[in-house]
Amino acid sequence: MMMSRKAIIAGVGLVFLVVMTYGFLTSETGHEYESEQFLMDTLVSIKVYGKDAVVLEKATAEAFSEMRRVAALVDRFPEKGTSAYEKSDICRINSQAGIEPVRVEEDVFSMLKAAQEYSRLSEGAFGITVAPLLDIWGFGKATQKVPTAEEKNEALKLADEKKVVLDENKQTVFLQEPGMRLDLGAVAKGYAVEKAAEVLQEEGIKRAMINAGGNIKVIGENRENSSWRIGIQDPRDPSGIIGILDLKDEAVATSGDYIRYFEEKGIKYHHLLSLETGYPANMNICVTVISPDAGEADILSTMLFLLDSEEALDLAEGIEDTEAFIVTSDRRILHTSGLADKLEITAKEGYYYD
Amino acid sequence: MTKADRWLVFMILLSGMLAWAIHGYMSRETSTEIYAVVKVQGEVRKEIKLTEGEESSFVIEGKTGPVMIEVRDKKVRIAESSCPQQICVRRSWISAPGESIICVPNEIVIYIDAPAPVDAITR
Repeated sequence: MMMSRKAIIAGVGLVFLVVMTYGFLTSETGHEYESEQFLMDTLVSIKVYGKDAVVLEKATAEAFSEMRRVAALVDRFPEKGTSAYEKSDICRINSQAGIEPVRVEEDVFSMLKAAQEYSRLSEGAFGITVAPLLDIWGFGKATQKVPTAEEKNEALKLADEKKVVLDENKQTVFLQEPGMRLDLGAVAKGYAVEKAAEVLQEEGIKRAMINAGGNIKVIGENRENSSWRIGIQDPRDPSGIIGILDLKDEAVATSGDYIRYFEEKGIKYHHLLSLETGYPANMNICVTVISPDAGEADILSTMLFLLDSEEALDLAEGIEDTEAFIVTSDRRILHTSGLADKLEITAKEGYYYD
Repeated sequence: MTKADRWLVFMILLSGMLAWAIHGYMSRETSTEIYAVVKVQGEVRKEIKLTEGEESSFVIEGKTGPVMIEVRDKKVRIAESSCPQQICVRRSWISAPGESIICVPNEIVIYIDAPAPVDAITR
């Protein structure tokens, strides 16, 4: 029997429609490109999706070079006389403490401004003048030790945010006291992630994830056309996840007592030091902050970690578009009300929550 | 609605369903085997198939010196490392999809290469 002409047309039409629809389904996520680099003392991975593989690769390379540029500006440890030292605004500011103001890049100026604002909000527990204190404890160096009370008090005397003088017009920074030093460890990674995200978006990228050792920014939706699912690591079991966040066009960062620490006489000391006591803050185990801006998420996660848990929660509730997830030192899980619809708590035994 | 209209509606619906089916088929996970991947300075150095009861250990040269990697009962860890802070050694065993061990000074990454339940982990 001969097939009717109608059936042939219908058949061809069907194949055509299937191909078109399939093409539509895969067009946005057509290509995936992923690249990793060690940067800012962590592993940075950038994953991008789009139609044009060449654009993806180029955008990723530019995002990485933007992050390297920011990293070079804030590096505190290059040796004097090297080109890395010359490129670092932070080294130049620190070396001129008590001598004269130093003109800095716009990036550094805006990081310092943000840090000052959050230091005020924390009523002095958080600050970027923490460098002498970090050095006395040995964080960032080869060996760590608990400082003597005298050493600690000397370092705390140099930690005074009011003596960091910013001149908006001249874009200069002046540390008023000789020996004062800045450390942007709680600020720069998030800022660099945000700048990298801006670069990707300027290049037309609609879907991407930048992950700098847990400082994460997502652009658009994930490959499955839904929110990105970001797990919050269980602070007492690195294989476990205590919560899952559903995020779109948002950033997240976590500060915890379980990554960078050392032990002395059986006691653990982590690197999130309070400028009020000079010791590691011990009110919380970890604080995760969700914000549209990766820079804000990074600073706030450290800043809130240094505060009393309830106080930290209240503060986060008061900041628009910003949410916090807190595990207190007595293992209670607290979170801001706005998280209810994008958080699934998966904590097992050992944690308490409503 | 004429007969042709009905045909058109039917065809569009059918094509949509077929496209979804093909899309689902093409993006299905093809393997249930789990591998641990060891990367040094961005380069894949070893892919270890994780199988029950198998034990091995080997030394790999990182940026600052030797690093000993141990495999046991479908788990991997860095047993010894030349790095100062030992963050990677303290990370201990990993076995679940998406888990990773990172040694920044040695620029080593070990990860379990299998579909993970989340897109990323904040820590």
